Amino acid sequence: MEKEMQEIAKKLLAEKKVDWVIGYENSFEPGASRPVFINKPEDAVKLVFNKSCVNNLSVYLPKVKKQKAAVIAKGCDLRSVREIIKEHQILRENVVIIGVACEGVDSSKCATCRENKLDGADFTVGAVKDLGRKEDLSDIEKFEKLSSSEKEAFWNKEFERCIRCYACRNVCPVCYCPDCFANRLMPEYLNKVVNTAENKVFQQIRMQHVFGRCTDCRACEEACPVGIKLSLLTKKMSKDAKKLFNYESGKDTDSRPPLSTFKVDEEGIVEIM
Amino acid sequence: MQNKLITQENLKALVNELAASNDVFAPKRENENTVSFGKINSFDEYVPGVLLTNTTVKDKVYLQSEQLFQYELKKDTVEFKEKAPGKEAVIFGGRPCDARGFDVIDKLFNWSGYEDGPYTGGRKNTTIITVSCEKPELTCFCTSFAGGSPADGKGSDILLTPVSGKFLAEVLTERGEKLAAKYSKYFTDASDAETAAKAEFAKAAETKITKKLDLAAVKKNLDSSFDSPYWDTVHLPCVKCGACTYVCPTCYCFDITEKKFGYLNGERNRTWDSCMSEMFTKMAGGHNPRTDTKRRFRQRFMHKFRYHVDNFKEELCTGCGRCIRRCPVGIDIRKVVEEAK
Repeated sequence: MEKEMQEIAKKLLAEKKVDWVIGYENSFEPGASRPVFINKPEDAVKLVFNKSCVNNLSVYLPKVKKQKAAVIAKGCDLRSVREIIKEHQILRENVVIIGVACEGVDSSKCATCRENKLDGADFTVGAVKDLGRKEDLSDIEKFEKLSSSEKEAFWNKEFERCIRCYACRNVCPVCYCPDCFANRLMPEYLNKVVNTAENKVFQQIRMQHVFGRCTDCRACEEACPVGIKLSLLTKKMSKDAKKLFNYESGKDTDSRPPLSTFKVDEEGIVEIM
Repeated sequence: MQNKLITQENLKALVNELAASNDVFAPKRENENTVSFGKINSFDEYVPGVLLTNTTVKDKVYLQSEQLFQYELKKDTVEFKEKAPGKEAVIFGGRPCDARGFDVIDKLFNWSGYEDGPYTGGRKNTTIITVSCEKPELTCFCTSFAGGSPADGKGSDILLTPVSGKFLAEVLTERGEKLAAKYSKYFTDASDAETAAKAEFAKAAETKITKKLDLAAVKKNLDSSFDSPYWDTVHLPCVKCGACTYVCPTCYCFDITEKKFGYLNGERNRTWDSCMSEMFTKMAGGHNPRTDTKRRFRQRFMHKFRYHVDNFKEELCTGCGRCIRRCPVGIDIRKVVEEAK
């Protein structure tokens, strides 16, 4: 599988079809990998694919959008690629998608994965198997049942740890704003002081911004250096987007994200006032 | 002071007694995959086996956000209220690379006769009891630095090293002596054989560190590579978050901001800042000399292994490897500086 991937990358670079191939290479310890940018055909042999290839590489695409790039994408990453194409952050013709048949990496999302299909990829490496895994919303449903004060206590404990490194934002494929509200000084939406209250405000606003666009890829949770349970939020958002707007982020490249459009009568929303 | 010996049980009793009257910070479990330095109320909350806590211990002295003062505008004057000095604290169970971080930034916060009040205030109140590392990780490279070792006491007040089922306690500073004298009931005198066993321990641990940087070569290469095309591509995988800088035991950059409570009163705060952030170099007029991500990325490595060496004759790094471990995209500081040319 790796050999096949390397051959595709080598050919794309040699024929100058792309400027970059974004994939994974071996990291500092056995079995670990990290993202790599390759621009020479002879370097294509560096590419690997194994269980440690957790990173969602689509985050890099808007950053190299003036050049053509090929990206190694698992089924779940492909959803993010479709989402950012839909949001006009990259042009489809500037991206070559090398889909890899994935049977799960070392991530919390894989146990309930139903997204390993590679629809829309330009190349597919390996054969996609039906993993037979089912959606499991029990953790969200359990959390929904908590009282407001229990929820608040939980999140206070989580965000007390937050060091506001913004890794969650910077690895997020749909957090591509060049001018984030968190950096704004006039007006100042967020004070620079790091404390539980400000940390929560940051994540609340970020989550509102990615609602109906977040594909629940878990890149933010994987990146968090202090292990904040962000998947509880992203999973809940996916669930709500489906329930309220019958919308699934990253399913296609042409539907409108629910909050970027308006209908007088939304079927999923009951007005109480 | 003569080396001391402390048994497992006595160490437990000592920490419990310390925790009763001081803030004791030690590696503490936050959730299934997070261990950070937190306040412990008893020894049982301490997680002993961990080498690399998720975050750095520096935030126990050099707070991530710190109020410098509060102000209130009165009729004719402005009234300032300074923060009261903090409580006596003990940092227990950190590692030699954590403690060395304090030694490195001490020099910065006391540079050319200037003493940084909030930092040195916290530093004077804090006693650091460090534990030597038996099994260094693949990310460790402390032996690259002058005197660096998994059993090195620089920056620590007391260094504990496991020796024949007990701990050899090297009391290294006045603060350490004060603590050892106050709690002398828990310590016994160590013999020469036990001190020798510590040297053996250090040697064995050092050989387990597989990566050693040639710092002279690194400095030479960085000196001449500022405009090198190397930096055009090496930064590409970096997502420019600040995780590496905020978990680093030696990164010290900060920003000063105000927070208004009303029209007449407010506070001034100091908060860690990161060279990876675009805002870090943005000036009042809107100009930003380091707008692009390549320049920000280059700055971190240049500062640590070139500029700081020029100013302080030592690297701004202790080789803990936390930035490598916590980087969401696995950027390896050792590889970046070694390959720079």
